[in-house]
Amino acid sequence: MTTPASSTTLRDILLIGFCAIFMLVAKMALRLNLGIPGHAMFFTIFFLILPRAVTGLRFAATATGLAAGLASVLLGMGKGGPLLLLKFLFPSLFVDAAFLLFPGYGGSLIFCGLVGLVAAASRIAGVMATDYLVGMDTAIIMAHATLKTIGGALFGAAGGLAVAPIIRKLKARGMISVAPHHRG
Amino acid sequence: MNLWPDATRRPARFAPPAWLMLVLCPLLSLLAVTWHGPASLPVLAGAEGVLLLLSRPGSKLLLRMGIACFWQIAVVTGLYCLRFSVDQWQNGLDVSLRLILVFIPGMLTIRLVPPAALERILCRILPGNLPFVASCCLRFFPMLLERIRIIHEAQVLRGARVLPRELLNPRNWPDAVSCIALPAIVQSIELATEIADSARIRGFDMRTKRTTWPLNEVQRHADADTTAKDASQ
Repeated sequence: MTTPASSTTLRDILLIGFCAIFMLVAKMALRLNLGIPGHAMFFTIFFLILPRAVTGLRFAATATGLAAGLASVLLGMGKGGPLLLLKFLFPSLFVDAAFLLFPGYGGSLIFCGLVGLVAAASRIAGVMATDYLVGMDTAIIMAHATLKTIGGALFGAAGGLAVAPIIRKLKARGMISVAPHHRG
Repeated sequence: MNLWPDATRRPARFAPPAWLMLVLCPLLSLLAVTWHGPASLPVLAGAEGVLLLLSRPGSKLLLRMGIACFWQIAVVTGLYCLRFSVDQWQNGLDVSLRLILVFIPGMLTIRLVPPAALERILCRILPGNLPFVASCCLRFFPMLLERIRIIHEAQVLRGARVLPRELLNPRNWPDAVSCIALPAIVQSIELATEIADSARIRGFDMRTKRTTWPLNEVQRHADADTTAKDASQ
């Protein structure tokens, strides 16, 4: 029995919703432990790459990032108010762009690690925008944003490395199409 | 598992309506970023201070906030002193206080808005069929967490090194990925498939207009019930 296309779309969107909630819950849980900067980026990148690889939808990561970002803005998690959306948007757009340009590399450790590193580092734009609007001196902005992003980028790479074997196993079990495809 | 521990552990004495908090929170954060007048810091600090008092923060929460504020002030003011001179500490302090005022409303919203109220508001503001998806995700997420908890227990019984204290050791992290993360993701996919199939069978879908029971129908039944009760009295 084949699953109807409309049902598959609903399944994919529900999966994107679950990933967005997982991302938020992970961020909420990690807010309690201060100390290591950027550690929340591990789960952010993990749950951005995962729906993109599993659903194959063209803007799955962006949709996940937007959903989690909007909920974070509403709940006011993190610094930046509505600017917080940018911090989710840049990494998710980067993940979608990377998967669009290099389809079929979802199970590669190197690809996922690199995507995680650069996607997490791209959040520097959001941090710089917040710092600039707060009125921070331009000479300080770069140093402050780099300090805040460097840890996040390393954790983002770790998130990418963690998701690659999972994608490979899901492909082996037939839960993800092995041939690269884009939908949506 | 309680997803919003701070909102339920110590209830606020007087909580402002959820919609007000959801409007105030982004607004106060945005004002702290964009409003640079001389009165901005005291006015925003006063407004956020009142909300903080209303939320009845416990000593643990205050301590956590204090540590976060301390690090914020130390890092930003330190950077100002290093880059310019020690005389510039006032500018650094101003910027770091502003960053703290951006962060406090969010924490207060998490504390003051109960999850059920948040869900109701989401269903009102989201366009098209998204409220159906959002409410499905929020409804079924606890079920998913319960399934993950069962997976975790089963894996611990099998001998996987995934107890919280064992996860402090980085050597056990690959175990967590293969024994917990992978089955959890498979469960998520299965649950999403089950929900999507059930919804399709009942006529709910992403591509049909019916994503909720018709409100006028529900209202008509409620009115009929009320009329019947009145008539019997």
